[in-house]
Amino acid sequence: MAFRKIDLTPALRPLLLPSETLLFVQDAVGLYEGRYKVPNFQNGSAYLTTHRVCFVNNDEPRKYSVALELRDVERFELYNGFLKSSPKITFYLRPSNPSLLNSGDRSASRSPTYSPVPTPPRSSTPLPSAALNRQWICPICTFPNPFPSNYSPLAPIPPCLTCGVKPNRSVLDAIINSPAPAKPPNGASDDSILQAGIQRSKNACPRCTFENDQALRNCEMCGEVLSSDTVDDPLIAGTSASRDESPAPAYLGSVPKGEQIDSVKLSFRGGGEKPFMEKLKGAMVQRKWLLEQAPTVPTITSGAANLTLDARERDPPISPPPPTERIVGVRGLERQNLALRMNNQRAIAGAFEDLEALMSRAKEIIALAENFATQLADNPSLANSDAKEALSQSAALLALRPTDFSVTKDQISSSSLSLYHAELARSIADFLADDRRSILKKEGGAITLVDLWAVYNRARGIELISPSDLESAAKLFDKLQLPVRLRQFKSGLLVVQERNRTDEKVAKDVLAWLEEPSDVENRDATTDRRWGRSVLARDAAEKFGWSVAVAIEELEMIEERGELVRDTSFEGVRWWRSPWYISE
Amino acid sequence: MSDPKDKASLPAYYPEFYTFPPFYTRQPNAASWSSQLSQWRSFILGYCRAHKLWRLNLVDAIETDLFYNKSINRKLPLPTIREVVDDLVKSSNAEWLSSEKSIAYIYWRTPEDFASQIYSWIDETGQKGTVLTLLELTEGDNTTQQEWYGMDQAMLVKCLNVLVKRGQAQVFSVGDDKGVKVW
Repeated sequence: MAFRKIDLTPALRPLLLPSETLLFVQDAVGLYEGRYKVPNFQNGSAYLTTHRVCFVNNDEPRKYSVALELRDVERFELYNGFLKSSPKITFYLRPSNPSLLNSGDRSASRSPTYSPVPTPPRSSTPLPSAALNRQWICPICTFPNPFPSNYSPLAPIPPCLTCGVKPNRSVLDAIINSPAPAKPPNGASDDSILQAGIQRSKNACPRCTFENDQALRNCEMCGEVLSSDTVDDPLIAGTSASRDESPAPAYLGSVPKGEQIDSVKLSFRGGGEKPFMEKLKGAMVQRKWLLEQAPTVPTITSGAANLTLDARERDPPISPPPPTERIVGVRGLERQNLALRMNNQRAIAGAFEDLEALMSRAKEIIALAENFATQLADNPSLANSDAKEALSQSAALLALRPTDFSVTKDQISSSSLSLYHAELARSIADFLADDRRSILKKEGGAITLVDLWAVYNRARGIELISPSDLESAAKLFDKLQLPVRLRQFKSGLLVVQERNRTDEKVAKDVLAWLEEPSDVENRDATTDRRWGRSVLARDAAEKFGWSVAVAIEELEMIEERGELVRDTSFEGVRWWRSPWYISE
Repeated sequence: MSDPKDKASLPAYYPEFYTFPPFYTRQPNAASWSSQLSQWRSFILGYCRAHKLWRLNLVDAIETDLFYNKSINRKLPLPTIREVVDDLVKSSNAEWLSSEKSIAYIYWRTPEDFASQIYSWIDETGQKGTVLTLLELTEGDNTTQQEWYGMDQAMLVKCLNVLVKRGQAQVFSVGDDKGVKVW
């Protein structure tokens, strides 16, 4: 099994590694190993990160979640889908993975002369041997090429012998699925085959009737959306788009003997394979996982940059003073200072050289910023509070890792806004549950949607979300069974709170608090002590860490239950334990 | 009036909630309000009875100890007082003098109770069949010990009308004054 089981966050998203970044999410994805569907992994979301491809199944996500390391992937290709077969991305795995291959010689299995699996996965009927005698017609130059003997959906497609352009896979598929009897290679009716080949590969636009290539989704001429139904080929027109039964063979628990699983497929039943592919290409080019293995932070001197070149040239006589020539006194201190400054300068210049370097040097820069801040604070003449604040804020911002929590619209297939909101909801839930921030705890277990919007967007820093997106996402908390929920108070105030936080619990806490003897005796001793103590909403906010708006709502909620009574006076509303409350 | 700060010295008709600040805020919660309302009802009736108040001018009363606890600096607001008195009217323990709802008769006993008391007093003192002016009943030297002593004239007429309805009395005018004859 090329997959590894992965951990999920409380919000059921894949737990990302420290340096990992989420690139793309697509729902309605199924998983294949080799040609076989993997049971229980047929309806889930695929998360593409800089390091992995993660799959989280919709049902029982904790059980059925796996990831494929991108570093195990040798190459990958896109299959556009055909008839009832969904678009798929195939990942060919590196042979170096011992768990993947037992003994098989993969290079042999890949060689064009040897085909261990002649059956095309898209067709439940075995490939007719006659197909080997068939021809395929190049849609570019119309040259009839011999059908590749080792044809399988996994095998690379040979280019046209005349013009050298690789045909669309669907052209070959059409030949296989065609019920037409095999023609001798040198048959007289080449023209009819050619005609059929061209026709099948065309896709007439319903608006302007321009015949587009089969692979296109939008008309080249007028941009009209092309659906596969518009293809006037009787073979294709008869098929429906429903996904109730995939023609691929089901995985029977184990791969049949004699077959090697050297590839893994993601089947995109809801579309979205194109953007996924693009992001995947980017990730495979960047190879972020290599960074992880490299020494974590490049030393400052090795981080050569044009900007720092001259600094480096001047460097050698200054920076490492040989132990023999020890310089003491004021001059020594001065030199030491100078060297230090040079070093800092180089660190800063190198770090801001490009964003990559900034990320890899974030730690160093944060330390520097903090250092500057303390120096500023130490120096009374420079102790400008604004500057200090700016510095500490920038340090704090650097410390944040917005990538953990930010889901952006371009990470999600543009087709479904609800998926975007669902992912946003998950990311917000993760954000709130994050132990390092413990935002909900700081806020006493409930945070107003407005505050959340501000805090969350501040954490993101870039790619801010709109309030309406936040509201839509928050409304999905319940549906996604996340550990937080959206609650609407009587007044319409919306707060996000922990799921296990109920009215009863809050009421109990508040009343227990009112029972406590107050350390500071009430402002007027005349108030009869037998009534216990009274509180203002802001006292409750302070005690429980709520915002005042939340405190007012919570107190009114308890009043609604009849357990608190209010006392409106010139100083505001004070709350008392109700002497009239009779608990059921 | 005794010092309200001293709880022990408060007369018995003062409710225990007299020193409870939320007592002076109309509670939005229905259950709390119904408890609060019944406390206020009995307090108003008890207070009027102790002070022999027959009619309550709300604007004036708001500054009295009834609605104003100076020790905790809390006042029952006027709309809430109206609400309480409205409730008293509903149970015929009070009656608005006019539609402005600024002055109300407070019947700390129902008119029937007063009527029965007056009747039995007249019976006991052997004045059946004699004509008594209303002033004699409310201001007379003989009635100082009676509960209805000092009763508002208009209120007294209402009580006597109960007797008239029972066929036990007759009210008529004697010059400017009104008289009553009980048999």
